[in-house]
Amino acid sequence: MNFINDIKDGFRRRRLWKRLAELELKSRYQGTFIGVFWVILTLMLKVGMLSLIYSMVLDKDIKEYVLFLAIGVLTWNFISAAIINSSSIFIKAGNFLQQMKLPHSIFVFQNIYKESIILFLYQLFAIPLVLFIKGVDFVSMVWLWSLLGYGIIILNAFFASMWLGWLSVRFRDVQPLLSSVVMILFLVTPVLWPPPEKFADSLYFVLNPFFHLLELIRAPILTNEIPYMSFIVSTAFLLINILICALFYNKVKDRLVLWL
Amino acid sequence: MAQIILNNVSFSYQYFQSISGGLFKSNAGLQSNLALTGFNLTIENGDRVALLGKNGAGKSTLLKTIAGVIKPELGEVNTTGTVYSFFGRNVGVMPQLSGYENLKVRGLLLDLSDKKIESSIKDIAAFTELGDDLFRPVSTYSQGMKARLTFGMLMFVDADILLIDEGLAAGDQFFIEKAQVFVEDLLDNSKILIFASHSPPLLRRFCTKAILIDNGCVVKFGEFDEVMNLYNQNI
Repeated sequence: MNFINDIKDGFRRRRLWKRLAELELKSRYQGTFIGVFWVILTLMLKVGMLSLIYSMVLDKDIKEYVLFLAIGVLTWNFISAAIINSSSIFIKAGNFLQQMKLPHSIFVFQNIYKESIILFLYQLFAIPLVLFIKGVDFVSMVWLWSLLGYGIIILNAFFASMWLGWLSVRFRDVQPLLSSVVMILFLVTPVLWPPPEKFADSLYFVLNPFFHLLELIRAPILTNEIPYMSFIVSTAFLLINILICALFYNKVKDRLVLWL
Repeated sequence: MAQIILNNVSFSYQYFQSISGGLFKSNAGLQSNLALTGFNLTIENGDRVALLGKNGAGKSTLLKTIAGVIKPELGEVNTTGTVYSFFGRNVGVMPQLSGYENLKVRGLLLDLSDKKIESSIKDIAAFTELGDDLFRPVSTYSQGMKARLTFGMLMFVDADILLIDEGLAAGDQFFIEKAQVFVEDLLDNSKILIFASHSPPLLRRFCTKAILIDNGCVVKFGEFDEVMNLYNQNI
């Protein structure tokens, strides 16, 4: 099937998209002294300020809350960046796509790899933070489930940004729409606040795939639990994203370059 | 053995309409513009073809169709041989990147091995004679230096079919002569060159045949001088 070949060929060209992703990150912080480490500093500032204020607002113990917040915010940052950037991945690659035949997935890989580098940098802050607050004994084998969780999140981001990227090129309304949608999702998803016990079973949370994506990481690390329900929902979400891409690939592949 | 055959090719562009009109006027919706109609062409081994035609005639569309970047709505395109396309004046990937790094990325775009990229860059550096300037950002280059780097990018690959669209700005006289020698060496009898440019001297140096296109159709395909005269008569 052509769709699978596109991804295989795209993956094979990893020297190219790795380099393009690194160049994109470097140019973002061009001329700065600490360069790419601004990513960690920005997260630290965000988590620091938010945990001070929101631990008061939510009346929670700051030591517990800052861990909840840090892990939630960094995972959310990855998800929202992948979604919002997807609207421009093919537009930015317009020059290349109009010069030579290239697998579309190269630019999806570029975007996801770039965001994954940032996600990795976040861990350089998050993991020492957890160890500092909870001590080394807190580490457990259950944490390995969060690695699987990150895998599912990254795969979801890959396929979602592919079809969102196509959609954004064809229908230019999608780009501004995505920014608003992501903002609203941030406000209604338990990122800054845990779901209140009274409403824990509310459909607003249970049916929100982003809540489950966050729980894939939070549950194993913070409460030593394996979030089976969240794994099921996230995998179903992944299958839907793959299906959308597979269904539309053939229609889009020859026409994308014309919409750029 | 390179060859290009176009058989009854038709193609329309689609574009978003202009953002003219008042602030509250919608500019959604795709418009369509016929670029190639019933296009028939056969180009053989050893042909070095100039693409002539006024602006909007369909030259770039033809090149993109041959390169496989766009797929015709009707008809078919058959190319035998590897294609190296170089379109547009964009010298490289990123202006804040050095000439050297831009060449490396172009090599990656062409899917060359690291070893081939390194050795090609050595040849390119020697040919373009840019020296230490190669390590400065492209944004600091003069037009002439950019022209040399652009030409250097052409030197990456021994493709069977070379497609160039307005990508060669004129460098200085010394460089132009060097470039001509290079192109002649590169294009032995088993290669094809198709070159669109508005510079008759450049075309004359590199091409033996020419195609005149108008309104998306072939008007004439033949020896360079013959077609060039026809083009000049019609202007």
